[in-house]
Amino acid sequence: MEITLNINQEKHHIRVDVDEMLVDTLRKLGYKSVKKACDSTACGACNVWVNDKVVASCAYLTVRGHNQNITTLEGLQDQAEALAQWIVAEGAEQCGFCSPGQVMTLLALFNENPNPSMDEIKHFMAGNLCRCSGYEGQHRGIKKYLEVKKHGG
Amino acid sequence: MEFLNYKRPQTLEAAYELYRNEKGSVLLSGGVFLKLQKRKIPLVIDLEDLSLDFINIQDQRIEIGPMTSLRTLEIHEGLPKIFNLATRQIAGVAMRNLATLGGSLMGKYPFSDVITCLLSMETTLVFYKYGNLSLEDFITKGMDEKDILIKVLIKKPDKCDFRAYKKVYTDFSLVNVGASSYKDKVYVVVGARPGLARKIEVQENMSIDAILDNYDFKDDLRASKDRRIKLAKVLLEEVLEWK
Repeated sequence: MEITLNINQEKHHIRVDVDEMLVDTLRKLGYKSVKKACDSTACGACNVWVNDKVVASCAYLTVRGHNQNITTLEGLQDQAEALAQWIVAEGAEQCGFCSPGQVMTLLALFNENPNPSMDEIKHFMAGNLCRCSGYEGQHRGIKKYLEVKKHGG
Repeated sequence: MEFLNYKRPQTLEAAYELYRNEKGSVLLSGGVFLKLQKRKIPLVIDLEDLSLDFINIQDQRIEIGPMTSLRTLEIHEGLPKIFNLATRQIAGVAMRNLATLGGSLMGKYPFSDVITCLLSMETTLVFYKYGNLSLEDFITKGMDEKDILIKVLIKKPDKCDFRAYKKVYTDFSLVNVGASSYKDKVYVVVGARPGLARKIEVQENMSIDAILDNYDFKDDLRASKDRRIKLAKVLLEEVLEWK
């Protein structure tokens, strides 16, 4: 099926199988920040935005993305770096495999709720699994990032 | 999962005709569970363009479109709190943005928190050709005809509540319970026993143990029958606190 995907504001006219999932299409197109892991919406590693909502791209049919706005981490470089440096500083970026999905989810949360409580952060991030960190370092990094942002940093 | 063909009809009638006439065709709502199935599907009919994503809050009832996402049910401020309680721990936000109310109901999943929540209230399903069918009848008797769910009607309860017990925050429930009251009637639903949710009307002065006598609990790899009964007892006490 011929479709057009608007990925990070760049149009891609492509031919895809009708049962192809967005995670596979994005990786084929070179968006390697999108990770394929559980392939069953359980881990959050493949999270991207479709029309500014965070979705698991392993369960999103590519054909449904026709003429929709898709955002991957590659399209949010500046915001992602500003957030990730705080997580890295807390030693929570270990193997790094889950980080793109974590950052996409966190940035979606901050768009929805610019000043979330730690409980709200934990609730929103509950679908993003990390096998290395134990989450505490990430929480510290997120807290510091929000503090700095709140004071205009 | 393998799809051989995909169509995205622009009208309900076109979707219905395709569904009725194409043998083995499947309706696509959120698609989260469809992708996990190991089968070849000749035609997938996507319901995305049929304007079935809506919530109308009225004085006596609530109307919800079957394409409404679980995340919308979780955060919609006009809905009773029971919707938030029943959806907020279903996998992650990225999954709840995809999974829909219609998909959760039509799948009749025995672990479903959504079915337990809606069944505990007076809920009616509206199908395109068949018309109205109570959720209770849909769950217990089923529906033989091929049809498309176009609306879910919920009579606003005076009181309602929901609880579930999960080993991990976003996991399936080991057991879930819902309760609602309408004037002098009180309903209770216990689901994930691990059987499909079932509703009973609570008689006056009925004890928690007497309520639970109406349900069959079973062992599975996730929890024992005894553990489920103990959990259900505590959860029921909590949801019926207002009784």
